Amino acid sequence: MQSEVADIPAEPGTIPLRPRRRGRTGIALTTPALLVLAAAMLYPIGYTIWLSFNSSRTALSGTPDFVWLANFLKIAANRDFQAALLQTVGIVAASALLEAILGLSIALALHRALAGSRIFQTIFALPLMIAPVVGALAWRFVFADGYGLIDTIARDFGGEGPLWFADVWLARAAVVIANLWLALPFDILVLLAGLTALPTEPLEAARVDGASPAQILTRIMLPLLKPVIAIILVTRFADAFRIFDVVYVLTGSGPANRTDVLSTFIYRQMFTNFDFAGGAAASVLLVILTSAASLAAVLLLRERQGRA
Amino acid sequence: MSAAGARPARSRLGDAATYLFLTVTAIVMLTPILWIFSTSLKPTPEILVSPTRLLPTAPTLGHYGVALSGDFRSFLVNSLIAAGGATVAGLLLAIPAAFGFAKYAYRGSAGFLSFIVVTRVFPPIALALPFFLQFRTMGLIDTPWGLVVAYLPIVLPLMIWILHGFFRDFPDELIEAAEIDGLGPLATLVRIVLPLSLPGLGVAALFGFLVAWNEFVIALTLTRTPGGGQTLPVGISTLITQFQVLWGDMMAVAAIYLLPALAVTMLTQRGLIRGLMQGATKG
Repeated sequence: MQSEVADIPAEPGTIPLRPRRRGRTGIALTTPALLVLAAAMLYPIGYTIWLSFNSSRTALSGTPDFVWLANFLKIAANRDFQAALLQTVGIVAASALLEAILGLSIALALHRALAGSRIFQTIFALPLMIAPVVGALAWRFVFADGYGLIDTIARDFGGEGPLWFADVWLARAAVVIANLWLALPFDILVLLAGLTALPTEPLEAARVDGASPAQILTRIMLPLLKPVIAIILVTRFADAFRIFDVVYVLTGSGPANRTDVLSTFIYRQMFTNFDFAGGAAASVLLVILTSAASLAAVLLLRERQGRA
Repeated sequence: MSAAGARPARSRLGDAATYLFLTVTAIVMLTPILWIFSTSLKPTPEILVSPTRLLPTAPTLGHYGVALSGDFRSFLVNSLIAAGGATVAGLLLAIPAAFGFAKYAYRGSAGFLSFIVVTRVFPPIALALPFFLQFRTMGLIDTPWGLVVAYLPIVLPLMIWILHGFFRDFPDELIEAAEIDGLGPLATLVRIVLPLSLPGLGVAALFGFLVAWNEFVIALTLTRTPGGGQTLPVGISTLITQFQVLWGDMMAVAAIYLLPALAVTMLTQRGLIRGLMQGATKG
């Protein structure tokens, strides 16, 4: 591809490639991937945005039928959409809170580096790359009525487990727990990497000055960890807002669609109700929501980092 | 007291509390995985009996026989084609691209790279319908090959970003020396850079593979039948909603499906953390 470069022997002591040629090489190397991404990523996203301003008939016929914001207004007024939006935000918020508390506690406990910490670290890492579908399947087998682990253990002791999937709040809790299980390994490992990389001097100085462990944590460690926390928040927001697999497999949006989230709502709207344009409008809103949350996390932590 | 070490001051009570906390949380983390493997090894009559037992009394591999035959084998083969194909195609495109972004910057290349990273926030459900409509006219619905294409927008940005991190740290002097010796950029990449970047290639390949291997929404949208393109997660999700779930078979399928993820996590923890932080970040 670039063999003409190889044919020109460079004089010793000169920069082998002049800037313009370097740039052309860069363009040649990156163009194939950029073209594929334009076709397989930009085009679909662009199509979804375009469709959200047209009627559903457009999706099948291909001829534009511009309807301005009608799809967005219709979706915003849809009670199922409102419920799914609230549900998604609730799951994201609950997950973020629990992940922060548990993730930080476990990372701090591992950071003490007691004997056996490595084994614990491996155990906590295990769900890291597990498919959400399998995570949901495993937790379904824990929570389910009759055959579920909790119910069978309860029966061993002559009792009965709660009906996790019949009660709205228990079903929501089940979704959050399964999601937490899938997400915690990432939180723990990244926090632990951040803790290990912390400079020791400020911590030493604070200890010598008689600061309590709680003060050291909140005044010194957490501010120093802000870039790491930003990484975690951006990643987890991107994943949590799109939550689909866990809900689909664990509760099937039940009971009575009460655990429906945005992605499952969009899927049903498109492929069960065939409201392609409405689903596209909801997708666009989901993209905006996820981007806004990620951006807010970055800006918030960047600003505070400057002040600290 | 000379508690001037790098670690917090030690106390036996604190240590005991730490161990207790870690043990309890570790058991909760481990239970679902153990339960999958334990159930997959139990003969069917043993699965639902009381009292609950972690270890099977008469372990059997029978469920694994079922899991490797019939529809399950089709799911497995489709998953392997979709994830393997996306990994190979992704690497072929991502390696030169990441090398170009890392070592041959041009006007606008930083912007392209940032945009590629930012695409991480696009939810896959937003890609599902356009792919569905396009694939319908191209005959790619219900084939694992269609999934290879549909997984590129997910796998490619991740690989480019991971590899970019590794290539950026590659010493410029080695590349300049190769250029002085008359090697072109592609020859430099293939003969000098790649052989010295095997850990990075490994992390990018494993990550790309697992992301495609674990993907669900797009596969659910674009596939219809077990013999067509349905992958393992789609198979699991359709079978679990049936009236009578054969839990032993199901858990054997889940165990097989889990193995690559568990193996990669246990073998390459360090590389994974680096890859995760790079692949996921700086958005």
